[in-house]
Amino acid sequence: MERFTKNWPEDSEKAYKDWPEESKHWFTFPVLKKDWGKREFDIVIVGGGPNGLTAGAYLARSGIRVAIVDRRTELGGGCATEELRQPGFRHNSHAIYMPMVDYAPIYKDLDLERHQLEHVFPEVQFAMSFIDGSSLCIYNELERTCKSIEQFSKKDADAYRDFYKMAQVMMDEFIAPSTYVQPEPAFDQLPRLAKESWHKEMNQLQGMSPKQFVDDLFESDRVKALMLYILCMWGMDPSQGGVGYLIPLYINRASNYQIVVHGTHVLAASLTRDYIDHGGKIFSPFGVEKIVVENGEAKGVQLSGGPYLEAKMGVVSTLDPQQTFLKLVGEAHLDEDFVEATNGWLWEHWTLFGVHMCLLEAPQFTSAKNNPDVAKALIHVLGYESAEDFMKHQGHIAEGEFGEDLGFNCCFPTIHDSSQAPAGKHTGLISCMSPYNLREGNENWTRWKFKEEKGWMLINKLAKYAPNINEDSVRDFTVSSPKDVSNKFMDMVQGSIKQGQYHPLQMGYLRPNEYCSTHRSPIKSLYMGGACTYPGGTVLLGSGYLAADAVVAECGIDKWWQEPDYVKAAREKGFFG
Amino acid sequence: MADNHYDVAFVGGGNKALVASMYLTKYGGLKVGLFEARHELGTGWSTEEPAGGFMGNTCSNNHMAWYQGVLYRDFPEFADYGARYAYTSGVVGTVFEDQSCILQYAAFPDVDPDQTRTAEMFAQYSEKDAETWLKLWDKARNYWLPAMLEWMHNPAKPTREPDAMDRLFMNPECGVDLHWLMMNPVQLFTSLFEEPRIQMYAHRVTQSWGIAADEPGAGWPALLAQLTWVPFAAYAVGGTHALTHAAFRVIAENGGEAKTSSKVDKILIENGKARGIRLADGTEISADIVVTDVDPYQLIFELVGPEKLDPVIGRKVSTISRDWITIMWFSWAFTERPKFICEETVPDAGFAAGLNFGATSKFEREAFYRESAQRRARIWPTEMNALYMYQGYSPTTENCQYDQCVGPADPAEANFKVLTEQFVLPNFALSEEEWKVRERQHTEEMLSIISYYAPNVCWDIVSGYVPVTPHYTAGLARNYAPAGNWAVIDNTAMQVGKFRPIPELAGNRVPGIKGLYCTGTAWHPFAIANSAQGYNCYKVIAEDLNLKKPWEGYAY
Repeated sequence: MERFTKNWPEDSEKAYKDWPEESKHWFTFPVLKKDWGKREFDIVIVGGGPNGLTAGAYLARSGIRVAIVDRRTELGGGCATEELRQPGFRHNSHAIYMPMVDYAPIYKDLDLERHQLEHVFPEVQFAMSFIDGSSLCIYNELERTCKSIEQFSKKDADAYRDFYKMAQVMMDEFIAPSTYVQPEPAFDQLPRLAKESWHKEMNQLQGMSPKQFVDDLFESDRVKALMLYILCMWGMDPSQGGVGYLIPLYINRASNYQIVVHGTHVLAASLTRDYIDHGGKIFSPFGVEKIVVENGEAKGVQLSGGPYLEAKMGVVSTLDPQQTFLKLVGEAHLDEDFVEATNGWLWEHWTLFGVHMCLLEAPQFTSAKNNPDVAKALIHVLGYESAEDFMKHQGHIAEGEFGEDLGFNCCFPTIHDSSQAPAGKHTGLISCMSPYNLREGNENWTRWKFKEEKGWMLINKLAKYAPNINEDSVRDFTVSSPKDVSNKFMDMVQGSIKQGQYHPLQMGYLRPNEYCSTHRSPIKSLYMGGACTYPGGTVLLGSGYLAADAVVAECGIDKWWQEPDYVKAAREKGFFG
Repeated sequence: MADNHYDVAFVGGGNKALVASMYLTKYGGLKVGLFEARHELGTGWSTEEPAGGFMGNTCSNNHMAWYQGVLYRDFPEFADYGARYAYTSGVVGTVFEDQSCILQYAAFPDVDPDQTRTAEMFAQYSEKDAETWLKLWDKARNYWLPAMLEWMHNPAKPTREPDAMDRLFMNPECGVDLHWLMMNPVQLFTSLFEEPRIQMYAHRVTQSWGIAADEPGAGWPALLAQLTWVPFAAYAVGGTHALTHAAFRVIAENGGEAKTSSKVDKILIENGKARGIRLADGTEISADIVVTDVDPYQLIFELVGPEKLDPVIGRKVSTISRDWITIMWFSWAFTERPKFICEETVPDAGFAAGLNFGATSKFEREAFYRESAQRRARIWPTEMNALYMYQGYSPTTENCQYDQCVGPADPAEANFKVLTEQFVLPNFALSEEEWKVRERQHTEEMLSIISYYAPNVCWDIVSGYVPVTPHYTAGLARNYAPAGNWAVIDNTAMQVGKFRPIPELAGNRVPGIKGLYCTGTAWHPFAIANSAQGYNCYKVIAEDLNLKKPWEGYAY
């Protein structure tokens, strides 16, 4: 019984001295205050979302001792699939469209298929339905998309074709490879691309705003509407230039989204199992009290109500910069300038209001009568007849308004993967851009009646396009308001979906800043690996991968993984330093 | 490609399977594969969020500190991987219509280890009852608790062999009146106590363990629970699903594997020996032994086939009662703490793990019989009889140090998670449409009754809820179907301990089939989500296969 009572507090000993020996230990050990002591690891990773799990998997396979800590019971961060409301209806409550299944190194380097990871790649990627019953679709095949655009403008179809082809080349040759390579300052990077055929266009795009781009390239209101939406759906500010390299990226990705069979969480679960298979340890749910820094070096992580995790080689934080530096490290260890810059970190312009529906039938889109492909679409965009409508919505967001005058994207995963609901039934997700600060008052975000009302507002808007969606066919639903999101994920401040705005001053080599974008930090042995760090968020699976890269480089560990072939090709062209 | 052979193949990856697998992998050194129909493991150790950040247990919720005693002993890493418990000082009580309240305190060292505080509470109404309580407590901690722990954590024996519970009854010092063994809980508590408040309080608490207030022979388990469960009430930090993950982490690091969304259709049996399983998608998995974590009906009638066994087994299983323990079990996210009027006289009530109110408040023991009769006649109970459970921020005790990982991370934010319980009808008594209507109606009924006792409660402070009903529970996992019974099978005298589910199966082997073992919530000792069932299953397998026995040197 010694191991049971070794750290037993004295007053318990006294309180139970008359108890039968065997039984008294049983009910005290699990609950009483104890000295947890310390555990020794080589690398401790704070945050077990997709980036933390990725970093963990790569480092565990390196043969070093790795621990991941997460404050939530469920790992995976935004890669969540939950039975929120009715059993058998599994909702992908946050991340759903996987953008880089064809590029992210984890899919080839790790053994995730063995752990049940599988994807569905729908042919019909986007469908924007209009009030008059027409629709515009983006497919995973260029010519099919062009044909759809042609309905509205042949000129636009041709323009799209030309741009798409160029964007594909940019993507294959540079944008995709650079996503999985440490960044360098723009003025070092750009000259390396000077010889490329698309170099001039890339420079031109760089300064453009998404709105400018769609206005220049397209003439049809409807084409502009969809193109603007797909460019901005991850957080690009439609009026902001300076991160224009994202334009060809998003145009290209709009034909390449996939979803995870059985739900997004399987990505997290498969990463977790790969990680554990290679010796990785997990401490969750535990909050973190602090990252211990001594003599300017990260030494370990103190868990809240748990052990101290010694980190012999270093600590990787996959949290946002404010939590990492201001809360966990502490200003005492940091330069004033760095503290100021961190305080000035820009959170996102908008967040998402989610409606998670349990449906008794699939939506019957009116537009599907004219175009059956609509029924098969992965992502439906509804509520916009023109780019101006989208801009109006952005304007409302800026004013803190969340009313009827808006649009959104929605998805019915069960059309593509029937396992996510009971037989014959369906799930639906509405993701609507919304302000965080509500003019009506933020306390409304945690009032069920308000949330329910807004949920119906959005469902009724969906019903305008799919009239079979009504009180009878909607068995139940729940909602995740911006405050629900920030309550759930501490790093999703103001409902942030990428740990910070995609603003030019905090993108690329500057994401989150020049000290941390290569996944190191001003603190020795403290690495950064979350979405706030290059290349960014939205399940790119890049930051955690590059954090692992930084760790092995700094610690002199043998790197067991090779760069992907397309990265090698780019490197051979001289694109990287 | 996945390996299609395992040393042990599990049908089901619920919490009993997880516990057994922890032992089979780490101590047994065996390659274990868990095959679970749901999208996640753990079954009853499941947690969903009524609003972001609030952890609501959709099934198992009320645990006792001793629930996973063997796991903490045999797996020091279990706590590291996230299995932690916390408690509140006031465990459970009842609020009466006149806003008076009685509360039972926890037996933790910094609360009420001698139960004198609880006795003082009772003494306000009856000195005699307070004395009775202390006498019972003395017997409980010296005799009942050790006997219960030993009984629970040893496999069921053949019925004629006395087990630890039988030996307890035979001990003249044990303080157990044998008449109690025949009584229903209402009779028992009425005979023990003189004060109606205390009687009513006990009658209602009993129900939450899945014991019917009017069930003959259920008096003793009810009293046992009152004295050895309630004082040690604790809750899993982060929700019971944290236990699922902690268990899986142990299993996986010891080479175990799990496949979710992988229903098992059949256990493959050849020449009286289990040789593997067949999944719903047709895949065949071969295994040296097969272990099931399903309800006895599925085991006998779907996975094995009654014709392969002694016909008595099939007939007995077909008569098992399994439609009684069906509840409304809503998880609520509140943005303000419900402030009870009775906190003026009993300050701890506001932070109590559980408060009963409703029918009990009127001091009518007949109300319990009425409710039972209505439920048996498939009439929705006409009188509200509810339990309110609070799991939010609490000043609790200094010994209980854990982060309140059951609510939003920032403590400045509202952090008040509540569960409510009401016993109603089985799933099949209502249609899907009727359940939809009842879900809505129930929210109004709950808020209405809670607000009588805590006037600040209204829709304005509700951020969300998970509408767990018997319909929900029946859909959560096949084991709970068709009634939506969280106990899988009822906790009646003929289905408890060495009789659970039936004596032929209670010892974890399947007579007539080699290499096939069974465990689950419907197994000895009782319907609870603790380690006993999985542990006992391992004990039996360890005996048969000569595996490591980490309990050697301990009583159990």
